[in-house]
Amino acid sequence: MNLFKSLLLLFVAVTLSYADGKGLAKSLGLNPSSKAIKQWEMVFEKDSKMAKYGIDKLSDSDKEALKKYLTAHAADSDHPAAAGI
Amino acid sequence: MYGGGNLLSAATNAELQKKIDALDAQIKEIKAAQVKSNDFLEERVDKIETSTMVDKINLGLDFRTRVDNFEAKDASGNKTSAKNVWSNRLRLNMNSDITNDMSFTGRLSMYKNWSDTGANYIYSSMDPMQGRRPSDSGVFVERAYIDWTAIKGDIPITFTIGRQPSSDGPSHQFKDNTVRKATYSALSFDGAADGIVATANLQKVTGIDNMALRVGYGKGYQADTTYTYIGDSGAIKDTNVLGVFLDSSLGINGSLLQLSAVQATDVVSNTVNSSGTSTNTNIGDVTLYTAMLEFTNLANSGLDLFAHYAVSQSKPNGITSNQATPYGDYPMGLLTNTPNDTEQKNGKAYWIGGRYTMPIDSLNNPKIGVEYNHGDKNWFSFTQGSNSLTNKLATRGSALEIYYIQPINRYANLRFGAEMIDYDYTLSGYQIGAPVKVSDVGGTTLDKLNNYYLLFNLMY
Repeated sequence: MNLFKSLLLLFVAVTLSYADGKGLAKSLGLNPSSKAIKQWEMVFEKDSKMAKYGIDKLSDSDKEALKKYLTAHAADSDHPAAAGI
Repeated sequence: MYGGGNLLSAATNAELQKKIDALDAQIKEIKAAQVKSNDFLEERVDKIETSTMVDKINLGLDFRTRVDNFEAKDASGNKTSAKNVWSNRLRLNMNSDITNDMSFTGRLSMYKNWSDTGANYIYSSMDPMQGRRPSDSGVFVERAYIDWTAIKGDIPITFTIGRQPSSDGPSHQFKDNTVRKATYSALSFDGAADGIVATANLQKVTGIDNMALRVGYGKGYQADTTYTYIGDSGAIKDTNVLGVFLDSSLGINGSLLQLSAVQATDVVSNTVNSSGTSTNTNIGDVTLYTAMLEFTNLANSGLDLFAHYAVSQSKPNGITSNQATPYGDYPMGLLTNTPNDTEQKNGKAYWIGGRYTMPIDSLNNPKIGVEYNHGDKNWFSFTQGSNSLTNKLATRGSALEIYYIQPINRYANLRFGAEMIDYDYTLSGYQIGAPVKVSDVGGTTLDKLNNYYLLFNLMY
C-alpha cells in the first residue's frame, strides 16, 4: 500500500512539474488555431516576431514546448473528431 | 550688433522655413505612399477574404498503401497463407464552418485491394463496412454530419445529425499516428453508422476539461421494402440502438475517461440458407457496458497508455434462422444454435496498450507500440466495420500487436507491424451461433491468425 502511495505521489509530482505548451499559450494569450503550422514556425524563426508575442522571454525548453503545442493545434493541424466537438 | 543679429535671425528663420517646407513635402509624399500602400493591402486582404468566403468546404487528404502477409493455422494444425496482399485506401476529409453554431464534417472513402473490382470480404458491402473494408474503387460516404449547437448557455447542447464519427475511435489513434477520430471506445463500436447524438458540454459548469454527456440514437437495421414505403412484408423489426456516454478528463493533460452503456434491441441475424434465400429475422437484444481510460503523452514523457474493459450481455429471443454452412443449414440465434433458448449470454473483453515516442530527432522521433486484447467465450461487440481486416478486437481469445512507426515528415509515415491472434472460441465477431471451443470443433476451424504488414500513410 505504501509503495502504491509513493508511486501515486511520484506520478502527481512529475505531472505537475512539467511546463506544458498549453499552459504557456494560455498565459501568453495565444490561440493556436489563429495561425497555420507554417505561420507559427515563422514566428519562432525571428526574435522580433517572438518578442511581439512575449515568447522571447521564455527559456529554450519552454519555447520548444510552446512551439510543439501551437503547431500541433494550429488551424491546419490534425484535429480530433467526435460528436459535438 | 542688434541689426546684425536681426539679419542673422532672419536668415536662420528662412532656413528653418525652408526645412519645414521640405519636411512638409516629405510628409505629404509619405502620406500619399501610405494611402497607396493601404489601398494595395486592402485589395490583397479583400482577395483573400473573398477566396475564404467562397471556399465553403476545406478538404484534407488521407492516403494509405499497405501490404499484408496473412498466415493461418487451423485446429488440426494445417497452415495456409495469403501473402503479399496489397491495398490502397483514399479518404477525402471535408469540413465547413457554416455559422458560429453549425458546422459540417464529411469523409469520402475508397478502399480496395490492388487490381480487384469487387467486395473481397464477407459482408464488406454492408452499411457499417462500406469504405472501411476492401471492395472496388467506388467512393463511399463514410461520414457526413452536421454539428448544431442548438442550446447555448452554461450547458450548451450540440446535436450531431447524420452519418456519425463512429469509426476508428479511441484508442486506435495511437497506432494510426493521429488524434482522436471518433466518439466511442473502439473495443465496443467501430464502423460507419447513421444516427443522431446529443452532446451536453459540461466543461463550463464542472470546470473539468472535455467533460460531456452524450445520448445517441441510431439504427443497426431499418426495415424497408424495395417496392413500397408502406410496411415490410418480412415483418422484421428495426434494430434500434440507444446509448449513453460520459466523457471526462482526469485533470491531466491528454487524459480521457469514458463510461458508456449501449443497447441494441431486435438485432437481426443476416442469415441466408443453402438455397440462397434470406432467412433474416430478429434474434434478440444486446447491451454493452464499456469503460475506457487513456493518457496521451503522459507527463510529457512521450508515453501514451490506454485500457478498455467491456461487458456484453446478449439476450436471445428464442428465435433461430437457418444459415448455410459447409455442413448444411444450421439454426442460428443470438449466440445460440438452440431454438427457444432465451438464456442471457454474458461476455467480457479488455484491450490494453501503449506507445512510446522516441526522443531521436535525427530519425523524426519514431514510435513503437504494443497492444493486447482478450475476449471470452460470449464476447460480442459492434466492431464489424473496423478498419482492421482481422477485426481483432472481436476476438474470442487473445490478440497481440506490435508496431513501429517511422515518420518521414510531418504528414507521412511508414508503419511496420505484426498481429498475432489466438482464437479460443469459434465465430469471433458474429452475433449468430453458439461459440464453441476451437479445440473441441477441430478440423478446419481457424485457430491462429498472424499478419505481418507494412504500410505507407499520408495525412495532409
